[in-house]
Amino acid sequence: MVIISAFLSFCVFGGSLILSSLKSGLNSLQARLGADIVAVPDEAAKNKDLEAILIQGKTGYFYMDRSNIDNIAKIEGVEAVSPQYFLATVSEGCCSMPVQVIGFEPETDFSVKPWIQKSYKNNIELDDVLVGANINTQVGDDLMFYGHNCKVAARLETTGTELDNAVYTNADTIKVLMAAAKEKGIELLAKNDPDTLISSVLIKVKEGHDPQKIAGEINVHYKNVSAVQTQSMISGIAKSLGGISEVVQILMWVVRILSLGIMIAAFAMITNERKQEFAVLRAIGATRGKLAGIILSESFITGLLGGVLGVALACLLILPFGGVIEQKTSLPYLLPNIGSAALAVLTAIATSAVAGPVAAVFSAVKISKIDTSLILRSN
Amino acid sequence: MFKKAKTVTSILQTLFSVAIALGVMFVFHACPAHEDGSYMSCHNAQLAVFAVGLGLSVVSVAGVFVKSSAAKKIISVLIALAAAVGAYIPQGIIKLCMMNTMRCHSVMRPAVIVLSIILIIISVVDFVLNLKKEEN
Repeated sequence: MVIISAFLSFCVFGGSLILSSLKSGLNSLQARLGADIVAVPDEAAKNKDLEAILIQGKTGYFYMDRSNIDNIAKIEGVEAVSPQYFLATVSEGCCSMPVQVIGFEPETDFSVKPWIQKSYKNNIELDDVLVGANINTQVGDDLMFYGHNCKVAARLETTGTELDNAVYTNADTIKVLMAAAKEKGIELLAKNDPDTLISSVLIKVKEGHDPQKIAGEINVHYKNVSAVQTQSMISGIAKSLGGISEVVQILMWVVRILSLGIMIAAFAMITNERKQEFAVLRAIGATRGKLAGIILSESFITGLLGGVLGVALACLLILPFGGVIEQKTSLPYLLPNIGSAALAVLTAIATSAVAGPVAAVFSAVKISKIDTSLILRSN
Repeated sequence: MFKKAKTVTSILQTLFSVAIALGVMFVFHACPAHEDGSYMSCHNAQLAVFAVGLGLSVVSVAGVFVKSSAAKKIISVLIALAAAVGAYIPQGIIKLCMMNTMRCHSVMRPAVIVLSIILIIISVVDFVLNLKKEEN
C-alpha cells in the first residue's frame, strides 16, 4: 500500500513540478526578452533560424545599418530602443563549444542588465563579459574567444531559456574580439564594424500603444528592416507547452484514478484477511466505530508515508535532470520558486494521505458491520 | 529478520556500486570524443568515477560475504564515504565542460549524484541494521 501511495504522490508531484517548471520557463522567456518588438535586417526575418537566434541563443549573425536605431526611436509610441550586435564564436580546443556573443549598449539596455545577479555593481569595462547561467565559469575567471582572454565580470540569473547559453559584452570588447577573429583569419566577421552596423534593435513600446501597429509601421517605412513582435515568437512555444501540459494532466488523472482503484481493491483484500482479528477485537469490547477508526487511521498513515516517500523519490529523480527535460522538450524550463514548490509538495502528500482513507472507507464500513459470532464460529 | 534485511542491503549496495561503475562508462557517460579523437576534461571525471565505482563494487561484494558485524559496519562507512567522493568528482574535483547544457553536466553528473545518494542511504540503513544486531 505504501508503494502504491508513493507511486501516486510521485506522479502527482513529478507531473506538477514539470508543468510548473515549463510554465515558469515560458514566463521567464517573456520577461527575459524585455522588449515588445525586435527589429532585424529584412533578410534575417526570412531566415527560419531567426527565432532560434533571438530567443534560443543559437549561434548566428546578421547585420543592418546603425542609422536604423534613430529612425525607429523617432516613431511615435516607442518608449526605448537598444541595439544588439551578434558575434558567433567557434569551438576552441578542449571543453568548449560555440557560443553567441551579444554586444549591447549598457547605456540604453533594458534587456540584459535586469538579469545581472545582484552581486555585480560595477560598470562593464573593456574585456569584461557577462555570462549566461549555463556557462560553467565563475566571476573573475578568464574566458577565451578567438585566442583573446576576457574576464567574467558577472553571471546572469538563470532564466531557464537557451539565452542562458549566451555571453554579453559592450561594443568596445566586441571590436577587440573582431580584431582577434581577423588575426585568426576569420575575415568575414572582421568586416562588420560595430561602429556602423548592428544586428537587432530591441524596442519597448509605451503603455497604451499597440506593438502590432508600431511593428507594422516599421515594416512599411523601412524596407531593409523587419520588425517582429516578441509575443508572436513566444506563441509557438506557448502552443507546444499547451500540448505537453494537456498530456501530462491527462496522465496525472489516469494515475489518480488507477491508484485509487488499486487501493480500494487492496484495502478490501487486506481487511478481508484480517476479519478474524477484527472479530476478536469486537468480541472483547471494541465498538464498530473503533474498528472503522483503526482501518481509516492505518490507511491515513500508509498514505502519508507513501506520500513522503513518493515526493522524496520525485525530488531525487526529477530535480537533477532539469537539463535533460529542457533538451528533450526543447522548451524553456525553470524550476518554480520555493513557495510554489512547497505548495506542490504539500498537495502531493495531502493527495496521497487523503487517498488512503478514501480508498479504505468501503472496507471500514464493511468491517464495522461484521457479524462477530459468525466469523468466530466459522473458524 | 535482521539477517534477511542485512543481506538485502548488502546486495543493494553491490547493485548500485556496479550501476555507478558500468553506468558511467556505458549509459550516462560523459561528452563524446571530438572528431579528431581527443577527449574533453569530463572524460577524466568519467574515468575517475568509474574507478571509484569499481572500488565500491569490490568492497560491497566483500560486504555480502563478511560475517563480522564490526567489519560490516566499517564497510558501510567506507562505501558511504566513497560514494560521497564519487558524487563530488564531476565538477567538484574534476571540472566539467564549458556549457551546462553539455552531456557531462546534464546527464552524467546528476546520474552519478542520484546513484551515490541512494548508495549512501542504503549504507546508512545497513550500518544501523548492524548496530541493532549488536544490541540484540
